[in-house]
Amino acid sequence: MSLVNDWLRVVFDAALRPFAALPPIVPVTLAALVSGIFALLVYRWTSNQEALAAVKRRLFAHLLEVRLFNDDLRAVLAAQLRLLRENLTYLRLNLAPLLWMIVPFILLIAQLQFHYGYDGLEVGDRTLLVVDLAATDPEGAAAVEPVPRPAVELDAPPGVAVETDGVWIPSLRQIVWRLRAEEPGDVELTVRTGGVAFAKSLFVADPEGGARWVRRSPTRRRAAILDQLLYPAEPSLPRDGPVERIDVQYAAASISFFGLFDVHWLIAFLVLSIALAFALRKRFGVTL
Amino acid sequence: MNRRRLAPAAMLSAALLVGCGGGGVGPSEGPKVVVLGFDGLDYALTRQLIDEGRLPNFARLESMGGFTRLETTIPPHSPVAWSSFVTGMDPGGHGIFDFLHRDPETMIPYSSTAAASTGGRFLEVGPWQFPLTGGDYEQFRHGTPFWEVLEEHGVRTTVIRMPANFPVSGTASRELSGMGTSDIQGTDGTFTFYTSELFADREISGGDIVELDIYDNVVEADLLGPDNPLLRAPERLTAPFTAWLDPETQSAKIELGDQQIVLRVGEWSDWLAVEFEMMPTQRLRGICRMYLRALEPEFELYVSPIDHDPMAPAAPISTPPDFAAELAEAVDRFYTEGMPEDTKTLTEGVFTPEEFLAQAKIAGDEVAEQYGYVLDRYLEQEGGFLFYYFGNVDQIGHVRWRSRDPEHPAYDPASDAVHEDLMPTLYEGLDVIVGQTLDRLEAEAGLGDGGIEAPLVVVMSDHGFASWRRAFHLNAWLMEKGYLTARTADPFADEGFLLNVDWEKTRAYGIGFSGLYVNLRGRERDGTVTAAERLALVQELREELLAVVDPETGERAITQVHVREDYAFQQRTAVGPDLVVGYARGYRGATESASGEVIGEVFSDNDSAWSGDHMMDHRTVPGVLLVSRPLGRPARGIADLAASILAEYGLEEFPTLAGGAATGSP
Repeated sequence: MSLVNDWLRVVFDAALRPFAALPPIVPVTLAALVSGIFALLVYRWTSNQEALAAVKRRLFAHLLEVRLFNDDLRAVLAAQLRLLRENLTYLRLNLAPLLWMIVPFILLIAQLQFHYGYDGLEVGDRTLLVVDLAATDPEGAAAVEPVPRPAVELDAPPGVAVETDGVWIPSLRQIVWRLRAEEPGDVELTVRTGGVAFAKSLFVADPEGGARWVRRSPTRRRAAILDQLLYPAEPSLPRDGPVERIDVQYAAASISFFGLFDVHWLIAFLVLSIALAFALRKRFGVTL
Repeated sequence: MNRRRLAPAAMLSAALLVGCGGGGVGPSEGPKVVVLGFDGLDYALTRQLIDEGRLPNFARLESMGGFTRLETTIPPHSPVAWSSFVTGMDPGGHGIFDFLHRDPETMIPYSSTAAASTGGRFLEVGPWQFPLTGGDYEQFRHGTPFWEVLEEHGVRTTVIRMPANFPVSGTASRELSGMGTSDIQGTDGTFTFYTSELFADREISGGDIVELDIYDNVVEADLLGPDNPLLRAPERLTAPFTAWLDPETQSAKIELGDQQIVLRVGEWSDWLAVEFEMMPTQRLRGICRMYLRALEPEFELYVSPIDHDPMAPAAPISTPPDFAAELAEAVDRFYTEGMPEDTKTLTEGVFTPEEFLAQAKIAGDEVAEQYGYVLDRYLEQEGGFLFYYFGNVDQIGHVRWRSRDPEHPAYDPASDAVHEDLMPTLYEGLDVIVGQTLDRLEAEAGLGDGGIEAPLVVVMSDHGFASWRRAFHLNAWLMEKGYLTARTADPFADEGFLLNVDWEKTRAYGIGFSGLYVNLRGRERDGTVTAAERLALVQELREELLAVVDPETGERAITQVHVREDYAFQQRTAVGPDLVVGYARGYRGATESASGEVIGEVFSDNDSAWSGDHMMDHRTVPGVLLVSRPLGRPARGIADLAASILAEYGLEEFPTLAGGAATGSP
């Protein structure tokens, strides 16, 4: 999984870099178009198109049945039952292409989320760097003993000011620093503990313009399969290392939907990909 | 959708994507007038600082057009004076006579400028009540705001933070409410001070002190909101927060909703969004700032009054309603309460002077920064008329004036001498604002092709300032003289708000900082004085008051007493006082008496941090008027200015002038 993520990051960074200074609805629309076409191709190759067409015809027929015999309660109820049965058949026929699509779509959405789901920081903004340490106490150790402050250091590159000492929260095994962005750039913070250094990316946008919509990683986590699937924006932390996760706060982003209203990118993506797939289905000869 | 149908949508999208400029509406044509309202700017101090060369831009303005005293109103209270500025009327016309009025039918005091109406119809379901009609705020000011006349004549107006304009009038093109705007609890601003000190829990004026426990260096507490309006039984809304304390680094991580911050001791947070859940689908939104005062020996955290979130205000604070959000997006969230400088922290001993000044600076800087945006917008998009209010000098002056007065009874050389130059420094800050304004407007005029008249810049204040050394307890004096009888002589049983008055044995009473009322039969609920007796009584009271001598100093405490009949307060006689007391320089009505307390000594030293004031004889505290060119229609007093402004636009008629002399000259 880790290798897949490494490869996907390179691919998506390269593919989306040309759009980094454009309104995000542009790459989201293109991604939706590609996804819609991909979905149509998957449908054509993996679904039983004849059966789908047949079940849609039958669904339409039963709808007509309800309309035509609306004065006959028994006929209407029977038609409703048949509609239900055909709906279930329709869902069953869609299952195969959906199973084919689910993994690529999760990978795609996870990558896009870290390009368009977060905004900031800008020069002058503050954020917190939160490091969660792994539990090291041996099982059965007295819980009442105060947990000593661990030796954790933070190195920040030029352009990022560390405004506070690390706030140690023993009950959460967490240490928190407040940072202030002073220069734009894509930089790495380094957290050192137990003789090991862990990097954490930090993106500071240039308020005067430039590439704004690039990959931001709000969290770097240990190598668990689900976390690797959902948080692929940075390499995973070592599974047995002293650090469980490192978080940086970014604001949640919303994007302008063609200037009409602001919306989360995922909603725009889903609406557009479904609309485009329906618009192109006849050109691809696909029954949905 | 075919290609032909897609094309217009695509063009629309492309146009929207590139962002086609500012709405296609150009600036209002005609003269430009910019009025900077500096609350409490004192004439004598301004004159002195100009002469000393410390206010070069004020001096520049004086040389361009002039600098004079501006007569304030009778009484010289901010809501009164600003209402006269807005309407061109005296208090008898606009109906604002003081900070506090009383309802003669119930004898209950209330805020003179506005109130939230609690009426409305509700659908009651179990413990819930769902409003069927919207709640509302009532503005008590009468008369027509002068900007309404300008708008009627096609002049676009921008009116920012006008005092006594909450709820906003709704008649300016752009408006933000000012002094009188409540916080989310409906008060003038109620802060909360969380502390681990034992037995600290109590309510103080302007704030709540909340005692809390610390377990394992973790604090769990609630921000306090108003009562839940959707519940039938009163239940206070709360929003939980957690603070993890790290004494070693003298800092704490605080989590409120989905926001996390780290504060070191002595640091202020940025604005934090607060959501109070009224029911699972309904939330009341506010904003607050936090100040981590101490971790040891006691945990101390100040939380500012929770203001309306300008991004989604639950009260009518702007016109159009989304203008507040526009300001917040352009600059940052901001204090929406009318008087953001939290003076109560100082008068109640919660903050040191330095801590208060840090908070006041945050509030003042916000206003100044927002002014930059408003001025840009005015010059580039709006044009017409602009009013912008600055209240920092007034609020800081109230609580720090004694640093200029070593004779003040509460003067402390250790803490006050270091602030001797504070007020002049604040005036210098305003001078910078004036300079920026003149530079921008001159540059704007210079861009013209000739023929464009230079914009008029007016700098004005509603009143001046003086040291407040001695307090006069009007109700105690009335009782001593036999005009007022108390139910109980026990000072601890006197709850204020006129509750201790034995109305059947009382002929006169005071409420507010200058108002003296006859307990008039037919007007007051339990009136004892007939209409025929009234005039003789007020003349008697006037003579006695003018003869009052402070036994401590041997000075006359009152230099002016206005009887309604001698003055212009002929209207709104149910609300207005029968007499207005004008205190000598150095004297002021006691706060306790103003809020309706009866028991106490007649004179007392003012040992409060609230050491500067203006609620005195109006002649002792004139305001200022500076203009960048002579006014076509000169103004002697603050109520004349509305007509002067209208005259700049060629509008000679201002229909709302009432009562003859508008400025307060008897």
